Amino acid sequence: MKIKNCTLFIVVLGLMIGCQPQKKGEGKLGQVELEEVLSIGSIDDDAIFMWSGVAADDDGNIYVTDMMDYSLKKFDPSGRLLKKAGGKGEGPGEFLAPLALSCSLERIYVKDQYEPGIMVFDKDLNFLRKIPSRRYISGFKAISDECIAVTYLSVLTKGSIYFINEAGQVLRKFNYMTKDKNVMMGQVNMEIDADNNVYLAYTFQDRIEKYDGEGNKIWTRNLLDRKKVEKKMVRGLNLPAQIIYKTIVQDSLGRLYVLGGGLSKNKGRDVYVLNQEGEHLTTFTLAEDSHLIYFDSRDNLYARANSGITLKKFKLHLKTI
Amino acid sequence: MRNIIKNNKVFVITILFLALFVTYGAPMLEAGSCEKAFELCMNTFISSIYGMNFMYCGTGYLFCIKYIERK
Repeated sequence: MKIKNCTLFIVVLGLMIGCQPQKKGEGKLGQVELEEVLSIGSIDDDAIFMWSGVAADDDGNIYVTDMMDYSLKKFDPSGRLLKKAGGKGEGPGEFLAPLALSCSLERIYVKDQYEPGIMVFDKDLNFLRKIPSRRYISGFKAISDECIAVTYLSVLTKGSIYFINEAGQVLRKFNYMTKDKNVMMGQVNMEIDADNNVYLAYTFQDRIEKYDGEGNKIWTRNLLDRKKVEKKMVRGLNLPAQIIYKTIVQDSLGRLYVLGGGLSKNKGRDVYVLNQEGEHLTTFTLAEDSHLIYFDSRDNLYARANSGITLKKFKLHLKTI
Repeated sequence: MRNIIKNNKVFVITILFLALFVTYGAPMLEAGSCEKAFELCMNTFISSIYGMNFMYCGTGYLFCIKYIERK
């Protein structure tokens, strides 16, 4: 009778554990295989000269900023160039060095390296307006058609993320702190999920953090066990000279993908995969080094090839252990 | 041209900062790293606003070292 009860207890317990809802993106991952599904630009064509930013809309169209062509380009899902906008200059819709790119439901946002503010285009690449800014933006991400999260490069080491509207007005501000007193050490790459959780991967520190929408820190992780980066004294500034993390992006299951920099085993190629709790699930390596990685809404991964002449799109095959 | 870009990272660094120097009439970078380009930028870009030249050149530096990975 005791054995029977004990067996019943174990079975019930097993069922209870088995029926626990699994959190998004959870589960230990094994090998990750990258299947190349699209390649835009090659040494033999003029599709891309040197791309810097990439984004894709829900229809699969791909938007690229091309630094050497001073342009914003739109490609259809097969990689055919649909339209090009911009041109060299400082006038409306013109660029000196178009870099970062982000897209919302109806808008394309572009940051030029040498112009404060963000340029706004519609999805047909018609220039709409410029979001004013008095400071130079170091990173941004479109949250919606009405809200953009922005970071600025500051002399101060205190870090902040500003949520602004298309008029450039600050809707709210999110503070994160760094104890390091050296310049640029508070620089971060950011990702923001649908629940307003903010994920930060520090550019010059071995630190990845998650904050809730109220600004409370949920967790901190370090993956490389590196305390300090190499620095160089330039014009009296102790400038960090090695990148720890280049980008942090999230797939539709909530998994985080962090592209490592110069201190990773494979510089600019190692991608660390974490779940929403910050647990390191696996690491995979890109064939070529990239300055960023990007995920579209269908979980395709985009990365650089041929030193920026080529944009590659991959389908990820993640094997759960 | 494309082979030059592919094989010469110094050339790529130069291109990254080219717009800056063309804009402000400074001499073009001959060779160097992102740190050298940052230093040249800081020497070239003059602003009366405190910290503005750092912010201007720093955004370029940030992108440069992300884009150009030292082997």
